[in-house]
Amino acid sequence: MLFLVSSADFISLYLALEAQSLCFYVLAALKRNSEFSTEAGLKYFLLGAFSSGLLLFGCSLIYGFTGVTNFSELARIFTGGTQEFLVSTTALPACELGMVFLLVGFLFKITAVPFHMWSPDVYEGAPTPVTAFFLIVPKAALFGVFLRIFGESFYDFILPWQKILLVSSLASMILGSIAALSQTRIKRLLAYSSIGHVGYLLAGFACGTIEGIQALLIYLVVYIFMNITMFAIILSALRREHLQVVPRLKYITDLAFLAKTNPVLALTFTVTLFSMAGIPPLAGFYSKAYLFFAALSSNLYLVAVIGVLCSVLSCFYYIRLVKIMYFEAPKNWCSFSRIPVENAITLAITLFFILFFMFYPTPLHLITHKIALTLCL
Amino acid sequence: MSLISTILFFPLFGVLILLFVPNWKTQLIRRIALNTSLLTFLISLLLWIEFDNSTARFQFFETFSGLPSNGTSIGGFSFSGFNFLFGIDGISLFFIILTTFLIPICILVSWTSIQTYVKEYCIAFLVLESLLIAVFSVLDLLLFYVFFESVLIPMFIIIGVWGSRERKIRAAYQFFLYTLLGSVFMLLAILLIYFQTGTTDLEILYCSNWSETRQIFLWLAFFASFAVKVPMVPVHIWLPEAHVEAPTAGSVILAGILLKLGTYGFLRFSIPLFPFATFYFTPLIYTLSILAIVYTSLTTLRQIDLKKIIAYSSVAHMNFVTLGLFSLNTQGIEGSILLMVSHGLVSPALFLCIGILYDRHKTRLLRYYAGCGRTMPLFALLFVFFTMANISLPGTSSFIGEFLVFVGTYQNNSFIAMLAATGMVLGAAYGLWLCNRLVYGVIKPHFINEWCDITRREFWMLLPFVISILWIGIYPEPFLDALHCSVSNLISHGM
Amino acid sequence: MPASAPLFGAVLGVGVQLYVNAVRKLPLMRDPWLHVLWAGAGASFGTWLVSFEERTEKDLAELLRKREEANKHLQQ
Repeated sequence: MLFLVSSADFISLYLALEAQSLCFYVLAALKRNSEFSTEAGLKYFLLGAFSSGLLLFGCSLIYGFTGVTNFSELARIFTGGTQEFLVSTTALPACELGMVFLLVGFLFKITAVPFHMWSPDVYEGAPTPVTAFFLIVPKAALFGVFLRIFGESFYDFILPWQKILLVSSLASMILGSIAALSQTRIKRLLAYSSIGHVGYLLAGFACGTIEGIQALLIYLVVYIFMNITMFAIILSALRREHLQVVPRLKYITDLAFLAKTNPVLALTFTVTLFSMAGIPPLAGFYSKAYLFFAALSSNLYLVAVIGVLCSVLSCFYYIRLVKIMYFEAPKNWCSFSRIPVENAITLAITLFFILFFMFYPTPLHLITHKIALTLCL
Repeated sequence: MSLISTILFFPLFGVLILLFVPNWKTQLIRRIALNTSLLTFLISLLLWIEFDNSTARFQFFETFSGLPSNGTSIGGFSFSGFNFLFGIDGISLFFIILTTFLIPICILVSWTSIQTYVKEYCIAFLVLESLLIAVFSVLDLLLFYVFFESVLIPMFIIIGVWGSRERKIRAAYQFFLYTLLGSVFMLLAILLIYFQTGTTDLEILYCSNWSETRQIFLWLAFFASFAVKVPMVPVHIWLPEAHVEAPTAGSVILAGILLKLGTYGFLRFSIPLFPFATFYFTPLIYTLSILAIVYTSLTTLRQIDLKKIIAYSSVAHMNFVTLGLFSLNTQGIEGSILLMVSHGLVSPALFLCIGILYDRHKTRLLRYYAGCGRTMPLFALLFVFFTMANISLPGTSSFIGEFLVFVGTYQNNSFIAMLAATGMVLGAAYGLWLCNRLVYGVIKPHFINEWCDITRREFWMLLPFVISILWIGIYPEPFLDALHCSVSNLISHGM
Repeated sequence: MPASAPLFGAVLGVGVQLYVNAVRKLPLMRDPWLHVLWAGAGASFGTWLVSFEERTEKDLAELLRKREEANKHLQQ
């Protein structure tokens, strides 16, 4: 993953991506005696290999028509004086085609629509800590490297890729909020809600301005913190069954016992859910507001309007979780088991971040501005 | 520490104390909450005493310079963070005093009726108080939005957890989602304003101009949010549901303050910032207001649930307020503000009376109550008084408000004033009918078994309302004086 | 802010330990030495954050200045 983000060449990009993905495939199939897990690993492997193949095809097209694979060299070719050379041959449309394949591979990996079909199944089948890893790591790594590719090398092709990213982002936002309305299992719900969040991230990406990249990075950081909190809670809601401690939080109706046995945990869950829905004064609101600000300043009005509407829609199912937690009677006996200390510490740190980020956003703001500038300079 | 920050942080200080009190000491929790809110009220009275009536500037001005509000500069656009600026002028003064006046009453009202999760209940109300004071005194557009929306969370929890029936969850959902949907458009408008002018500081924005088409869009976006809060037809449906399902204290704060948030938003943001669009859309507001007044007054006549009657009458009163607001002359706006304050006193008082009945008999259906005047004379006296105030009997505060509203509207458009006057008659109709059915008539002994009159706690809850309504009704000068400068500044600035 | 950053950090640190105890349903002040530990950790985090912010701000100003100069010839 670290190799991936620091790669400056298509070859190293592909190598790092494949190495990372191989590890992910194995991780998804970690529970060897569960069919769910094996199925998830297999699905991920097949679709991941396919999308890596598409990515490689894009890279090879670009190499074939320009002769270089290094990002900075590509940047020089696409923006420098050899532009006429490209136009006079048939190279330019082919490079666009290569870029489209690159984008397709990228969108596959970060589970954006219309390449998202594998993610709910894989996220649900994989063991829960692995799902947490999947939700956070590939997105961060891939956004990092593709920000560099599209911000530096392919910036001149912004018209095609902005359109593609806009379509994907709108579709992801809409699908993420609508499809999650009917889910009954927590991990699938989180998978669809993460598709929605990816839609917002892509909207920030599609702006193409420094504010857009900054908004994307801030949203990414807040998204990471929120997901860590969510998974820490899901992993901590342990129950004692037949003399052993079992993490048994599969269906959303399982949450019903949480408010009675551990009110502080229920409160934390509520705060996290409100933050994911984008309610002030929590961190999720700040990141969404800045994202809409970046979208509006790039004249992407439709994205902003649909974004806010989808955020209200998604509010509905987040609040439904709150309702189930507080207002429904649990169906079977509740017992509780003490949360391990590491979970509690993680929860504390991320919860305080979500609560107090609004009052002191400056360090994150500054560092993301610096990152955005270094990516584009 | 200056006055406003004291008032803002005092309830939070109370919350901090409450966090360390164990759950089972309910009496101590209630006492701490009550004392905190009473002290906040007394400090806010200081605000009024030290208020300068002769200027329209923002007084008790304060910034939190400790918080970092520097940001980054990108070319010409800098995200200057949040400007934590607070200030009060004549318009916000009374809302803050109303807030701090109502919250102790809310805590008193639930002295015996709330037995579960008492600590969380008191914490929710104190947090709500802080947020409401912040909404009314903040001078920054984005921060106003933040606090405006944050109010939803405690209200959602209060309605959902301590409400009275199974339908409460649906009501809480409706309340939350309706308001959120309207407000997200306001968020987009605020971001657009920020993008165009580079700041969200209200005093600077008051001096800026937008082109006319842009004003129309921005006004409409703000309208989407405020219209849900007011509430105007056709987005008023959340209000009867929320009122019926909320606990008594929740209804009190909902009717008393939360409805005023919408009209305060109109007053503070839509009218001064977008004068052209205000002129442009005045016919729309007039139509919707008259529709709401007549429609909801007629609907009230067929209700059987006591709280729904008062809830619909709240809708009618708030639409009188918008009628007055958009008449855009001094009498209209002053009348609407006074009507807001008066409605903030009368409606909570009526909800309190209904809560008293509900505490005894656990039903709100009008069929079961009749002849209360024979067995609960003190309660009947107060209830009749508040009903007369609801009808705007001369001598009560709502008369002053409505009269000024009518004067203002008549100057603008006499046809609308005529239609609004019919609303007044309808108001008298449902008010008197409710009063008759409840207080007079033959007692129904097969339904009603408890006859005790109001207790000392309930009496002391209702007495301040009586005193304030009579005071504003007979001698409104102190209130109107405080309003006058700010309102004339508002009008002359916009036109 | 510079003077009160360690104070805020210490308060947050104590808050973290209080929260950890609360969420594990232990009495709030169990293991009081851990409170002190977290207070210290929080204070150091506070000071580090403030210095990080200043450093990043200086770097950012530097980057922006170089950008201005590089684009100067375009603005003629």
